[in-house]
Amino acid sequence: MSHDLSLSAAILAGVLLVAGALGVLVSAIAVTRVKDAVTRVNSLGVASAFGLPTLILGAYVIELDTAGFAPMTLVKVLLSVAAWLAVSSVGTNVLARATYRATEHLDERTSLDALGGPEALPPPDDEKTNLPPHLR
Amino acid sequence: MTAVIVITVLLLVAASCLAAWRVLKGPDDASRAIVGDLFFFCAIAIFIVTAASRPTAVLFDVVLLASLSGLLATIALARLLTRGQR
Repeated sequence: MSHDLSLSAAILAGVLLVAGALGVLVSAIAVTRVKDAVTRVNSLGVASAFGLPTLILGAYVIELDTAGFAPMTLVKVLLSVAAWLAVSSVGTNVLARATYRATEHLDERTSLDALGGPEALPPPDDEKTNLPPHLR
Repeated sequence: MTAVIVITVLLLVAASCLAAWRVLKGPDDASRAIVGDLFFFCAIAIFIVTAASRPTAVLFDVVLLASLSGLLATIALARLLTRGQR
């Protein structure tokens, strides 16, 4: 345990760690509550784009205060954060495409299914669609 | 600081429990694959928090490798969902 953590570093690291964990928890709650699998893929974004990078930054604050600055560690941290923002997005995109192809039916509140082909688009003069006027 | 670590781990364990419940209930295979991804996130997050609370030299190596290779598991699950088709 890092007993020699200074107060400001402890506060900053604590805020970052708790915020990151809350991001992952919010993502888990959203995954549990939404109605279809494609929306579930969307809900993962909070965890991978906010939760994990924030947790890594919080851990780096602790590391900076206890072990001091090291250039190689900074490179690893920056690469990890960039990987969570970019590489994870690519993986989620692939998973979302596979999910769409494997899903039988979408949530009935889905207002525009652009991947579903022409028959999935709403009729042009339907007043009951949820689309904003410029998309009708 | 110990209290912060404990609170953070508890939040992440709660997220894992929600994910486990969704795996049990999950109406289709796609949902289970997605929640598997969420499990991976929770595991990495718990590792980060627990490893940051003690002196270790491998924390950021493990995090870097996990964040770069987590893509492989996601793509493998995606291929499974489409039965090997692209």
